[in-house]
Amino acid sequence: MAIGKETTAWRITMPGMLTTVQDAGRIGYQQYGMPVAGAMDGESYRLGQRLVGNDTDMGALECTVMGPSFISEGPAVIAFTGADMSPAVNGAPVPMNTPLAVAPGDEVTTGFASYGVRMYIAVRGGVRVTPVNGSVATHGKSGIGGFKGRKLQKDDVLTVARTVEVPQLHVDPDYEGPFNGTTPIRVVLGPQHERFTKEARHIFFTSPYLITPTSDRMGYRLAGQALTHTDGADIISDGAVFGSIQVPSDGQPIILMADRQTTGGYTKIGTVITPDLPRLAQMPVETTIHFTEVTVEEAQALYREYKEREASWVQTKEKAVSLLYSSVLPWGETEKRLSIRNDSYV
Amino acid sequence: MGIQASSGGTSDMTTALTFAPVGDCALSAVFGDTISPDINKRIRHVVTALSEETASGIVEMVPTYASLLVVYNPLIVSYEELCHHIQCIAADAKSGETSDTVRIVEIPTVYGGEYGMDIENVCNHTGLSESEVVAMHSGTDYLVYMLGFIPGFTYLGGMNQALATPRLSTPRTLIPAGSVGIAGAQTGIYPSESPGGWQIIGRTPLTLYDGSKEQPTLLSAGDYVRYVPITEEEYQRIAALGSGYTVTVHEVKERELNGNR
Repeated sequence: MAIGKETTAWRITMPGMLTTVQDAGRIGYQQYGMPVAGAMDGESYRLGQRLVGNDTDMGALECTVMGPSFISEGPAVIAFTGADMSPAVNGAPVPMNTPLAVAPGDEVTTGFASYGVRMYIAVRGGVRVTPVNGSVATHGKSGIGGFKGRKLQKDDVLTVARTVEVPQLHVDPDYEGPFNGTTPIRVVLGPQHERFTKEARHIFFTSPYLITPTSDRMGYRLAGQALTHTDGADIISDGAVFGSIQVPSDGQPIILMADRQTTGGYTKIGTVITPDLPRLAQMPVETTIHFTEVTVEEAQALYREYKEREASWVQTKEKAVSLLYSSVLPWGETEKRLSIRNDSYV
Repeated sequence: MGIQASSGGTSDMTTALTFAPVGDCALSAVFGDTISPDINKRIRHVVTALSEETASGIVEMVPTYASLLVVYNPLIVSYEELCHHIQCIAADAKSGETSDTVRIVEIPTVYGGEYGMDIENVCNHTGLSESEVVAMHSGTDYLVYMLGFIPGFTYLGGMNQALATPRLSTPRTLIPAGSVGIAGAQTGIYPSESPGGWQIIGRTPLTLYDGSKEQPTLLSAGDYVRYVPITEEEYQRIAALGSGYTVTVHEVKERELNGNR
C-alpha cells in the first residue's frame, strides 16, 4: 500500500493503563509455538482500520480502560473506535467512529472509558514498527512484536504514517458496537465437553459467572459454580483458539483470549462463537455473564450473518465534510449519542 | 507442560479418527489418546497433505501430540465438509506408504559448568556420573512431537528414563535462552530467556526462534533432535558466527536413529 511512505512521530505524554500496538493477529505461526495476540475486540479494531482506509494488518493502538495522550509532531489521520475514552484534540472533544485529521503539534488526549474497556486508535497508513512473522501485534508476556515488545510508556516516540487526506467514510448510524453486556454469550460445546458430568454442563449454561480481576489479555478467569470433571482436568496438550473455555481442576472456567498460549493441557468445555468475542473483550472485570449453547451449524450461520452485517458498517459519505476535527460534528450530537450509549450499557 | 511423553504407546493404525468443533472457525481432529510416535506420524501425514492444497479454506494448522487443530474460514468450508475432507485425506495417508526417512537436526550443546548448573542435581538424583549423563542425554535422538507453550519450544519424546529428575523445588527467575534441561521424564530447550524450574544441564548457542524468517524455527514437529556435546570454545565460536553458522541436518532412515524406541 502506497499510503504514508512518509512518517511522523507521536510523543507519548501519558501512556494510559495498557496501550499496545495490535493488529488482526500473528496468523500461521502457532505450529511453531508463536501466540496469535492481536486486537482483543477485533470488530472495533477492523472498524477503525476501515475508517482510515487501511488494510487490517497495519496495526493500531489498543487502549485499555484508560487511554494514552500524545503529541503528534506532524500531520496524521486517525479514528477512535471501541470503548469511548473521551478523546480530545487540543482539549476539544472529538467524536468516536469518525476519521479526522490532526495537525503538526496537536495534542491528542484520552481519559477513562465511559463504556467498554478497549478503545482503538487507528492511524491512516499504519503504525510503523518492525513486523515479527508478518505481524505488528504485541505479545507482552513474551516481549514480542509491537513497540519494543511492550506496552507504551511515557516519553516513548512512536513512528506512524504521515498523511493529511481524510477518507470520506462514516459509520452506519444504526451500528451499536459490541457493548451489549447482558445478552448471554453463545458457546459451541467441545472439544472435550464429554469430560464433564451432565450436571456440570447444565450448570455451565444456567449459572452466572463473574469475570474476576485477575483477567487479562491472555484469559478471562471466571468465578461461579464449579464444573465437575468425570476423569480429571488434564488432557494430552492440544491446540486452543481465542474463545476456548478451559476448566482446570478447581472447576472455574477460563476463557482464552488474544494473548493465549498456542496449546494447553486442560479440558475445554466449549468455545465462545466469534461474533460474541468483541462483546466479551469489551466487558469490564466484575461483569456477570451467562452462557447459552448453540450448535456448530447455528454458530456458522451466525458467523455468516455477522460478516454480512459487518460489511455494511462503514459507508461512503455522500457529501464532503471538512477535513478538520474541529468541524466534524456539532458537539451536542456527539454528547447525545454518548449518553444513549451510557444508558444502554450496564 | 505437565504431560510426560512416553514412548510406550503401541502402534494402532486403526484407531478411529474423531472430530470435535472448536467454535465456529476451528475444529479438532483427534487421532488417539496416547503419546506415541505412530499417532504423531499420522498427524504429520495429514498436515503435509492439507498444506499442499490451495483454496481449501484452511487458515492454519496446529499439530499437537495426538490431535490436530485446524483453523478455517467457515464462509468457504463448513464444519461438516471439512471433517469429511480430512477423514478422506487421513484414509489416503494411511494406505499410501510414505517414506521412512526422517530429519535429524544437530543441536551443539555445552554440558555442565556454568552452562549446565544443575547437572550435579541430575547426577545425585540418578546416581550417574556427569560423563554418563552427557553420554546418555546426547546418545538418543528425540522426536519433536509438537511446538507450543512459548515460541520455538519443542515437546520432545524418547528420553532415557534413567535420566528422569524432578524439577527444581524453587523455579529460577531467569534461565538463559538456549538452556537444555530435564523436567521429570522430559527434556527440552528454552528457546528464549524465561523463568523456569527445569534442571539445566547444558546450553546451545543456536537461535531457536527467529521471527524475521518465514520458517522461524530450526525444528518442526516430526523432526528429531540430536544433542552434540561441544566445548566452551566451540560454543563461543558458534555464538560469534550467529546466523552465519550452518546447522547440521541429517536425513536418515528411522531405523538409523539413536536410542531405544
